[in-house]
Amino acid sequence: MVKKIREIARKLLEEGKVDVVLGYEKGTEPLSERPFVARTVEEVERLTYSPFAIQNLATYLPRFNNNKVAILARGCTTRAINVLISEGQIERDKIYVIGIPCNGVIKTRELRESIGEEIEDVSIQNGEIVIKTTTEEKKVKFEDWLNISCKYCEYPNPLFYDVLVGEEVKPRGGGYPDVEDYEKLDEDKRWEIFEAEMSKCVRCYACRQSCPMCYCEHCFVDSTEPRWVEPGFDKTDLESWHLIRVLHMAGRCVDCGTCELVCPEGVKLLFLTRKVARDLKRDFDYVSGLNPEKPPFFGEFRYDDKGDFIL
Amino acid sequence: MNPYAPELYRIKKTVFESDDFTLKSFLLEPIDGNMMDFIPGQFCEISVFGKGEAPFGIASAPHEKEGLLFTVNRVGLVTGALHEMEEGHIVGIRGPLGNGYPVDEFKGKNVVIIGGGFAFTTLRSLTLYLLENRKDYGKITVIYGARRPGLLLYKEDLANWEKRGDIELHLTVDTEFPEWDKHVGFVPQVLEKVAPSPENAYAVVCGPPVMIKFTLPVLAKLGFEKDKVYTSLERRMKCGIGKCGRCNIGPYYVCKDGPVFSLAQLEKLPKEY
Amino acid sequence: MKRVPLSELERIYEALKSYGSVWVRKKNAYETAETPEELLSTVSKVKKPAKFIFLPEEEPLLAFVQDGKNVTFQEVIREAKGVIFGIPPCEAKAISLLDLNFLQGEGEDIYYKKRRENVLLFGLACLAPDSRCFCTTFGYGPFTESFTDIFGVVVDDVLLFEGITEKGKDLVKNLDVEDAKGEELKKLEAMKKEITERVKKLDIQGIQEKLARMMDSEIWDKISSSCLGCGACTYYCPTCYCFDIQDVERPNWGYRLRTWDSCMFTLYTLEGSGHNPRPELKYRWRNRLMHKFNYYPVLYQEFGCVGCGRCIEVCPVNIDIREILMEVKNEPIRA
Ligand SMILES: Cc1cc2nc3c(=O)[nH]c(=O)nc-3n(C[C@H](O)[C@H](O)[C@H](O)COP(=O)(O)OP(=O)(O)OC[C@H]3O[C@@H](n4cnc5c(N)ncnc54)[C@H](O)[C@@H]3O)c2cc1C
Ligand code: SF4
Ligand code: SF4
Ligand code: SF4
Ligand code: SF4
Ligand code: SF4
Ligand code: FES
Repeated sequence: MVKKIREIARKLLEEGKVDVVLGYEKGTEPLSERPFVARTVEEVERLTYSPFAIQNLATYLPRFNNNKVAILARGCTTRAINVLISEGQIERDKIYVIGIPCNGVIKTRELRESIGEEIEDVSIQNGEIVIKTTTEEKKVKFEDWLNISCKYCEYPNPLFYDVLVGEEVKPRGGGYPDVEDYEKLDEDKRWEIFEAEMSKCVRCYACRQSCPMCYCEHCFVDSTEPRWVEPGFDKTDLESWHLIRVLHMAGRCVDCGTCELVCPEGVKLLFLTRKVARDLKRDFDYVSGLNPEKPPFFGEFRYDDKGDFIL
Repeated sequence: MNPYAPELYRIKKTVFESDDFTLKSFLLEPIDGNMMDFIPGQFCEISVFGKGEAPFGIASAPHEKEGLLFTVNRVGLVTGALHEMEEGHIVGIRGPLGNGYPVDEFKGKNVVIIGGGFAFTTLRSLTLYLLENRKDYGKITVIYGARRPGLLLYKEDLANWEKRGDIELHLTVDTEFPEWDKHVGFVPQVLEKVAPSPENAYAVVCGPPVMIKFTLPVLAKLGFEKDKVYTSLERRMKCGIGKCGRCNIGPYYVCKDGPVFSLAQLEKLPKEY
Repeated sequence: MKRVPLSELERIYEALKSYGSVWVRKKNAYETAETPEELLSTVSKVKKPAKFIFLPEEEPLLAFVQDGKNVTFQEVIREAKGVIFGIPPCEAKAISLLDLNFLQGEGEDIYYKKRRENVLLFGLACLAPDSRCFCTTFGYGPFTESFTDIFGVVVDDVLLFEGITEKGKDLVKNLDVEDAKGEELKKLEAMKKEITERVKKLDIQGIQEKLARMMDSEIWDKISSSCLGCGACTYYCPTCYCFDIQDVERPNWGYRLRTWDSCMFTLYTLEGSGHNPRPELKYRWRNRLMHKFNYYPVLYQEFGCVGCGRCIEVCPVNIDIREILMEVKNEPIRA
């Protein structure tokens, strides 16, 4: 697969069809497959791909608006591209999509932190992640460390592409059992979980910055007039920050999981975004990012929304 | 001493400076009666409690003991709240902050003061300071422009200066206006026409970025050396004392090492302003 | 050097406790210990550095009350007193770098100072440098005692330690502990050599002079191309200190709050007119690197990085400052 990706990328750059290739390369951290922008034929040799590539690359597209770009795209990446097109942020004909059928990505940060020892080597073999540390070899099940969105993903294959790398995969599907489990809890328990998660937030905004759909130049959380969220770490402010963000994402969030996977504090965010996605699907039969022509669900975000319905 | 604790000042007088009500001046007196001492070109952080702090150049001169004068352009949270305030309201003041104009270095020299728009605030302070210590300085030339007559600040002072024989004042507006009998044209053009001599002289320039951009080449053409031209920079600020990090240009902090820099100094720094 | 067996740490715990809070290493942050056993933390690198104690992510500076046109306010200063037990040399050095910003010059930051001057650093040699550590690059290492008040090393099941500063020596003087044994000191020397050599040192000779000439280099585009512009690298960095000050308003009262800020945020430099002196990520990355490797040396003759590797770990896209330093080093300078 990596060989094929490099071949395609090289050809595109050589023929001048694109200026840059947005892909991944092996990072310096264990379990890290990080975004990489290849601009030259030599740099193509650095491109790789694996289920540790957590960042949705569509996040980078708006900043390359003046270039012709090739992008490695899984199902959720193409959905994000659709939303960006429908909101007028990018143009389809400037983008060359290298489609990648996806078996899901791994919660790399959580897994890395759970090991607690220096990791020397990692490989994936027969549905297991084999982690060699300084003292031992640990094996964990691939399925156990899947990003929750991937675990129940209905669109693992790119919705559209200019070229496809590899065979299409069968969707795992399965709806939103995680959301239903959460809803089964009583209100106090739900609130307790919510508060515990939000209180970990350090307001580094890695979630917002990594999200392909959070491209607003002036985010509501930074606005001083009016001020939706106060500065500091009062729990109501941390909570409103995330609640309003989730609402603002309603109908745009493509359930890629990037926001939660990158959070340095491991704040769980997908139980909120997925709840909204489930409600939209159940109540309005709406799934974001399936159609570049369809206007986003909420044409406009209303700041006076209270968001009581989420919890 | 707590450098973040403001002194309380009471608004003694307010006046709209411009006919479009975007520029409002505030005369502030300390509630404990202790007026601060400062150098023209320095600034203060003004607190509107509940809204925050923002930096403003001091527009009064050190010898004007009736109060500190600030002129505020309404753009956002703090400036908007200030505009809503009237006589008697209490604000906080931290300062004086920054370095100010090198008035000692100017001693015995001619000084050319060039201002545009509402950036004339600290230039008012400087001009009045030079006039107060008139015998220490050579020829004083002031060139000051605005888009239209109604946007010129401190009209009373300008009228006084016009009457005096020891200061040369050139006022200009961008285009012709009825009853306007002074210069017409942009500041750089007027500067070229007035053509002050660089001999034994310093120039001080403050104004919107475009004005500065076109004024500097004219000064160079007139023969002003880069270390004889000063300007005052603006950057977003918070602490005002070189601690919070945000106003740096290279290793210098505009709040602490500036806001006044010579062109010779700026030339060595990254163009981050 | 003094010695106390790890099984008898309560002998020093009480003395530390009498000084104030005792912070110990927990996985996510330094936390106050309730029992002597907690001194025996096995965490080698705490995720949130000890700077949280001196420069918390939020702190009120003053509180005010409004009454019509009148306002009164009061300073609010959160003090701290105690000992940080087990702080590694990199973090202790980082605090010495924060001191340069907060305690030097005319405007001492009394909020920082009130905590700093009453908190002792009981350092411990770092016995398990990880793959991200590059502290030795900066002329010190996992056994450097000079930035602490008291410095110790765990050798087998004994803690060896000594007072470094006057305050530290005073505290040690009053403890009921024996002198270290000869063979223990010998073992310490051997460990020091072996562990220090394990840290991968970077060759950054001449980096400051090089950077000073690279303001307009194209390298900044490349370096920042995958950066997301979040605050993670700077928030977790033990030497980053940038902060914001904003007011929080309640009906008729409020408080002035200091929170962390980051030069990686767009808003950090955005001005009222919409003008931004650092409009793109490449300028922000340039500032971050320049601040640590060019401006800090200009101002204080010290690099503003201690090589702890936290930024490498927390960065969502694994941008690695070591690679960037090497890229800078290898970048040809165009005339
Ligand atoms: C040394 C110095 C002297 C100044 N002198 C004057 C003066 O005499 N008169 C005057 O009207 N203005 C002056 N300014 C500009 C003034 O400080 C800003 O307009 C003010 O801070 C905006 O505050 P705000 O709360 O109203 O805006 P906010 O609501 O905080 O923000 C509105 C917009 O202003 C931007 N902003 C915030 N703080 C600053 C800042 N310090 N500088 C520039 N933009 C900022 C924000 O990014 C935002 O886009 C000076 C600035 C400096 C640095
Ligand atoms: S990434 Fe995590 S810590 Fe950072 S703002 Fe988002 S939720 Fe908070
Ligand atoms: S909110 Fe999270 S899951 Fe949804 S699109 Fe953004 S990064 Fe992906
Ligand atoms: S390695 Fe990174 S986190 Fe550590 S001191 Fe240097 S810049 Fe800061
Ligand atoms: S690197 Fe940036 S955030 Fe860190 S101290 Fe320097 S200017 Fe501040
Ligand atoms: S943590 Fe990484 S992505 Fe975020 S600002 Fe720093 S370098 Fe950029
Ligand atoms: S305003 Fe804080 S450093 Fe200049």
